Parts: sequence; structure tokens; C-alpha cells
Amino acid sequence: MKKVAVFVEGWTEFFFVARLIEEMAGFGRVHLRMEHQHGGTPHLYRKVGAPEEAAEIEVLLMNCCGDGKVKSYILERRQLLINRGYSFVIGLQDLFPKPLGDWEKFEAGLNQDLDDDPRVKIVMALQVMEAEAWFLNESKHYEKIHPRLTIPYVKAVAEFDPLSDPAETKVPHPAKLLDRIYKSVDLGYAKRESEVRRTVDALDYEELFVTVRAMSKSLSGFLSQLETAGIC
Amino acid sequence: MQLTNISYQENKGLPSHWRVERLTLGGISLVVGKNSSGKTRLLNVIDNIAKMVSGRIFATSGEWKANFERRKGQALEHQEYSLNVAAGTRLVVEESFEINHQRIMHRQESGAGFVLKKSSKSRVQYKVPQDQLMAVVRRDEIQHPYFDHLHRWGAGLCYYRFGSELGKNSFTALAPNEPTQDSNLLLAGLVDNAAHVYRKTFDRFKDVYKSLILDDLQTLGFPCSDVVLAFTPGLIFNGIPPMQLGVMEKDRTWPTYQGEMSQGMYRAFAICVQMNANILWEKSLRVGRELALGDAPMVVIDDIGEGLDYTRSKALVRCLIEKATENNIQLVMSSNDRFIMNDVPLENWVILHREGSEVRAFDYQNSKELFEEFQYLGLNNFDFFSGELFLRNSK
Repeated sequence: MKKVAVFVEGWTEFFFVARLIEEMAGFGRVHLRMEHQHGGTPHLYRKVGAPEEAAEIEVLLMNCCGDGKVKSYILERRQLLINRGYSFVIGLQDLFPKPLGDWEKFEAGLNQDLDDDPRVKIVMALQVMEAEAWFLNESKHYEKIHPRLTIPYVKAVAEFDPLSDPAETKVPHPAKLLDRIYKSVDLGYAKRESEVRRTVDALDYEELFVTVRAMSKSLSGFLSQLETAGIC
Repeated sequence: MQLTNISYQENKGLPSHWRVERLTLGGISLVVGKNSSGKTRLLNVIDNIAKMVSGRIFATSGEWKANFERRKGQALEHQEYSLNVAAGTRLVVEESFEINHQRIMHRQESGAGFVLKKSSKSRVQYKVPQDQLMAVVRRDEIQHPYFDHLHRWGAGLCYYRFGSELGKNSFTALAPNEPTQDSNLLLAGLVDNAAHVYRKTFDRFKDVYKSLILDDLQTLGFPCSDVVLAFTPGLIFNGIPPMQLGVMEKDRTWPTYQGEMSQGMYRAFAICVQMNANILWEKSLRVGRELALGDAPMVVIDDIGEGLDYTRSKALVRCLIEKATENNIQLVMSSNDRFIMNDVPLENWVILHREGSEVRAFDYQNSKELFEEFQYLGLNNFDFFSGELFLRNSK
């Protein structure tokens, strides 16, 4: 069985990537082991998907909980990951608080000093600003959140067109904009677990894979890495 | 007045020679380094020069050069004090003091030298005992007021050894004829007596002081509803019963006294008692204006976070940095705790690296390119230190 590990920074990415992997892999192929760390120690959050013995791929999804950097967390555990049979490791790192102008430099830096063991391939993906930048461009989920959130309504409220404005380069604080949009219909988005889950569940993943991917260089890069790892 | 640079060496030419090259200190500095790289020794060097220029201790052997900045209205005044005391003796070989590159004082090995006179700017010749500092014995508010700020800096510097008892076994006692309220409290001499600092400061500032401590304890994850001073049962010194500090923890109905607290909790509590006292006393002396950098005593803490769990050590450092920044207190801490190092921005780091008897310092000023490049590697701050990435150019 192929074993892949994905390391993310926080809870938003944790819930989003879990759902994304399930959608990409399709039913019955992936055994997803979700863990989060506290004080340097991993704790099991949940196991989902196909049973371990029946799955084609096992994915370890680790939430580093913002306690340090994703890349360091992976490198510190490189030998452990090898020992446990993981052959492909992806780290998803936020560009924030660095400015957009640092995108390429940071992406290049992130991928330095990763490849010194042929048994495991480690790659880093850069998430530009926040995961919410990807949510903002997924136009079909708004009306699932609330029927009044039609695209013309969102455009009027947010001065942002989900269909044509690339959020990752145009919106400085995507989560704040999402909050403003949702608040206009008396909801809200303060990154609480229930709010993240509501959005993650409402997202149209076909739309993300095709339309949003075409608009977002960072999402496209991350999806390509998941595909290279065999999750598709 | 703020200490901006310091260099030091001792026993020059001897096998026991030890030298730390000139390093830069900002408003907030975290001194990091491996064991025996010289972190504690550096802080002792700062503490020693502070005690010497304020006359708190005799001259001790070594060679110091310390630079200071003092805000004077909108202008910035630069002061430089140098002292060379012969190895293994208390005899001063050379001492000098400059303000904005103008020599204010110079003395030689014989003790002979001069100090500039304030009124006429003429040089007044003196000869002081060889084992005494000119900056101390010739300090005069009328004739030679130049040394006042240096003296005040030295007299005020508070040096806490966080890994020590920090006064866990020290008590306070109400002496006969003691004034009910002091107008000032010199905390530098009370770094190992939090109980006394608390009693004196509470007498003056009452619940304002207590609330600050309770808020900090809450932030640090020690929720308490009260700070208490109580007589210590069974102890009497010269007929006076000593008093100890305690806190009322929220899930207890009886105070936890200082002797019963865990070492980690007591240390965090003592630092909160001291830091808030420092701020309140200094503010009371400068009513009507915000504290400027260097007004409040410089705070130096060795081995910050030692004995605390990782969440609380991080919270304590954050709390201290926040208070120091808000009140313009120069704060220098040392640590090699990875969680603290990951939490404190690299801009505030001073990395010590020792090769033999030479200690080199790496900081944002002297290694800017390396510090900045590292921030694009996506690694924890700790990796900069543990991977010795700061040495890249040297290697």
C-alpha cells in the first residue's frame, strides 16, 4: 500500500484537505489518518475512509497547529516517516504574513534542502494568503450557505467577483472577506470548526478542480503535488 | 539610558583568556547559544559593569567597553564607557568616558586623570585610589554631572537568574519605625526578594498592582483570585515575624504560599511581581508622560522559562516582551529553549558562538543577509540556531 503524508498549518486546512483528498481519491481507495500535534506530540484526531486493510493508499494528514513551521516539523520527522513507510510527503505552507511580492522567493526557499534521501520525496506547496482565497473563488458554494448569496449579490456586497477576480492575488485577507459576505446574511466566518466545516461541506469540488484551479496558481500547484503522490 | 553595545575580555595573554566580541543589544534581545557558549557569562559581564559604575561592588578584573544611547529631547546622545582592570587584581589600568565622541574623563594606571568640568568645560585633574573608579568617586551633580545617567543605569539594572530560587526562601518583615509608604523602591537590590517587593509596592499602589499580577498569572495559565501576604508560622527574626507571599488559586480555598509553590510557578509569579513593580514605580516618578526608552531600569533575565512547561514559558516570554515594549523597558533574556526561540522573532536574537576562548555574536545588524535569507526557507527559528545556519558565511 502506498503511504503519503500531508502536513498542514492549521484547522482550516486540516478539514479542507481531508475532504479534498476524499473527493480526489474517490470512494473506497484511501484510508485517511488525521492527526494533530500538541507540544510536539501527535494525537489521533480521527480515522476516515476505507479500512486500512482494504485501502490502496494510506494518507496521514497532520495538523501542525501553527506550533512552528510545517517544513521544520516534516524534516524533524523525516526518519520516522521513512521508518513507517511513507514515500511521498507534502507540506502545505501559508505565505502569510509575508507579502505577495515574496511569493516566488519564498516558494524557492521552501523547496531548498529537502531532497537528500531517495526513500522519501518531500515537497512543499505554498498556499498564497489563506485557504479561504480558494473558497472565495468557488462560486457555487455561496447559495448552499444561504439562498440569498447569489453571485450578483456577492459581487455587490464584497466588491469582488468570484468568477473573475483571483482572490489569492486580489484579496489581502480572504477569511475577513468571507466573513463579510456571510455576515451580510446574518451568518459569519470566524474560523470556528463548525464554520469551516459548513464551508468545506458546501464547496463544489469539481468546480475547485477545474475553474478555481485555472484561476489559482497556488491551488493548481498543490493539486498537482497530490496527483503526483497518487491521490487521484 | 539604553545599553546598545558591549564587548569584554579578561585575562588577556593568559591561558584563561576569554573574550566576547562587540555585540549589539536592542530594546528586546534574546541571547541564545549552546551550553557553555557564554550566555550567562555575558549577562554577568553586563551585571558586573552595572554594579561597578554605580558603586555597588569593587572593581573586578576584566576589560569592558559599553556603548549607550540616551534620548535627549528629539536628539540621541551617545555615551561610551571603557574600563580595564588588571587580571587577578582590583587595580584599574585605564578608564575613560565619552559623550558624543567628546572625551569627558580619562584616567591612567596611576589613578591620575581628568574629568571635564560642566561649567567651564575645562579639565579638572584628579588622582583617585588605584582600586576605585573615577566615574564613581568623582561623580558630582554640580561639577561633573556627566556620570549621572551611567550611574542611574547601573544602579537600576535588575538581573534575575530565572533558574535559581529567585527568592523563594526570602521573606519580608515590617521593621519598627518603617515608613508606611516609600516614594521610590530600588528594585535592583531586591531581585531575590519578591515578598519584600510586593509588600512595598502594594503599600503604595494597592489593587492596581495586585490586578496587574493577577492578570499576568491568568495569561500564564495560573488563574488566581488574590495575592496575599501572611505571617510565616513559627518564625521570628529579632522579635519580628517574617511575612511570605501567597496566591489564592481559583480551584482552592486556602492560599498557596511561596514555599509550597512549584519552582516553575514561583519563578513565573516572582517575575510578574518584579516586572509590574518596576513599571509602576518608574511611572510614578514620571507622572504626566509616557516612559521613554531607558527611563525604567534595564531588565536582564538569565535562562528565562527554565522550569516552566512549554506553553507557560512561551506565554511568559510573550507577556514580558509585551510589557517591555509597551513601557519602553530594555529587556535582555537568555535561553536555549526551542519553544521560546521559535516564538521570539529573529530580529531580537543575539546568537553566541564560542570557539576556544573567543565568543562571537551573530545578530540582525552584523549578519543581516543571513538572517533575512533564512526567513525564506520556511523553517523554525530554532533551526537557524541548531543547524548553525548563522555560520554559513563563516564556513
